[in-house]
Amino acid sequence: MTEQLPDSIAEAAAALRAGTTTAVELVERSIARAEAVDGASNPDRLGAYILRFDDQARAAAAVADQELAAGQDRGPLHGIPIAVKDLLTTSEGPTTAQSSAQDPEWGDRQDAAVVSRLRRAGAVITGKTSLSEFACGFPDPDKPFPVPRNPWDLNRWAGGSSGGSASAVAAGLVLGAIGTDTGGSVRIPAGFCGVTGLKTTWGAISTDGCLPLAWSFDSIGPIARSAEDCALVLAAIADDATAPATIDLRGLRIGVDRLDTMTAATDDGQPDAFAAALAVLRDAGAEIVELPLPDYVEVTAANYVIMLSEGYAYHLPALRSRWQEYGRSTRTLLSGGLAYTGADYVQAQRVRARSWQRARALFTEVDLHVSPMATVGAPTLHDLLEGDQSLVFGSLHTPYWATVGCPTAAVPIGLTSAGMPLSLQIAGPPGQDAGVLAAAAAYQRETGFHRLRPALG
Amino acid sequence: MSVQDQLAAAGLEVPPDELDGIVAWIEGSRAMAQVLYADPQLPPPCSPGRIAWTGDSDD
Repeated sequence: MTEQLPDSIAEAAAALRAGTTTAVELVERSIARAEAVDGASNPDRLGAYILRFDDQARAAAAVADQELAAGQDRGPLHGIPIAVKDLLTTSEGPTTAQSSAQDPEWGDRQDAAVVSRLRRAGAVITGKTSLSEFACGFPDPDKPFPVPRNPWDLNRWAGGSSGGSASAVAAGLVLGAIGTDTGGSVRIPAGFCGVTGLKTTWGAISTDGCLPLAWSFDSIGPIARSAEDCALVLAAIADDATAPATIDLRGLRIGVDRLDTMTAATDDGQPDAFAAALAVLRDAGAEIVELPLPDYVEVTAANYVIMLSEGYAYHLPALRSRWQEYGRSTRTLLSGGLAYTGADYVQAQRVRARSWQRARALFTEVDLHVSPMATVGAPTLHDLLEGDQSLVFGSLHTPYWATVGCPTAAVPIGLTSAGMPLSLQIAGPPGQDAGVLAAAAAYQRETGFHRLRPALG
Repeated sequence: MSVQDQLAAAGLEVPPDELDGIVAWIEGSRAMAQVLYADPQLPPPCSPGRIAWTGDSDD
């Protein structure tokens, strides 16, 4: 059996510089792992990749090794295998957005801005990961794309929309991945798969080369096992690249909202896991203060109204001519934009403006804010596709911070009684992305949940 | 105008077996928007492409 990848980007980077591994070896491990659990002929495949760039990745890794040998060190991502959500363009192959309705040549096979930055940092792009169609639909087994399954239980959903990116990291196919977040699409799959993800400050990372869902919220962010690794990826892709920061939780004021009256369902273990996470933060010296998220219902509704309106506007011409080529759930969801008037959209943008004001005020009272990412673990695919979807989506609490636009990290905090990962979200002021990850890293220094691995293959 | 009429006016040809689900989704989505009118003192709207973390006119 081929050896698996190291546990972290930091560990791999150290091994590369110590000469105990090479970028070529890392990419071979990445490919072997992908073939073992996600091979196209495997009926129980993970469904993480839509397309792998094995040959190009091997070539890029060889160049990375040559550069390191010549003393040209591009930094912590040099020679590190990274996967990219198939909503972003890459020079190696088409961009499908997991949809038969999408022109795969969109973007003219030019690298998206974030992909260019990864390459400049020396990362090895291993392929394009699966997602919810156009970042909004549900898995559709009838379409010619892999269903993103959860490595903790292949009968369960990896989460959406960046499901393949999160499952690829959790299953050890890559050391980091790129996702996008409009209403929770980095945080939900990161949380459901037991890894760490960051919804970046809206506008902090260029969305050039990223298919839009809703311009008001679309953001690009890293997914990795740990907050420390997310920070390394962030430093490579952010406009104002910042060095990974460390933070001491002592003396920080952290606001908390359990959202237990705002949720549709709660899995066994979630309240205790969340309480235990708060105790860790408190024991590390943070002051925990109850601080309900202002206008929670209105701000969440604004996310849906704006997202569906903008998504409908973008997709309407194609929905008219290629209805059947969209997955059934996607065309239904996008048709929701028809529900809203111009006044509704304006009113939602007014609520969004108010949410910015209230967030500024909130972050004068506290340094960070903590709430559940979701009060449930990943649902089974059967429940997701055949059951009451409102129970799942009413238990996800990611849209709020997408509307506000603040950086928000999803951080593993334990498992449900069914053995599925649970997650909380740490939000901070706009622009403080590295600080949010530093706080998450401080939490992870006290806990081991991000180091748990699914028993897959 | 009924949802069916709205769909037709938008040029969306929805197969009959999907119609009920889409009508229910659109009606539920419409109901969700009503909460946005609860506060009469909201500030002016922000625009999709504008960042307004500071300043007062747009946020």
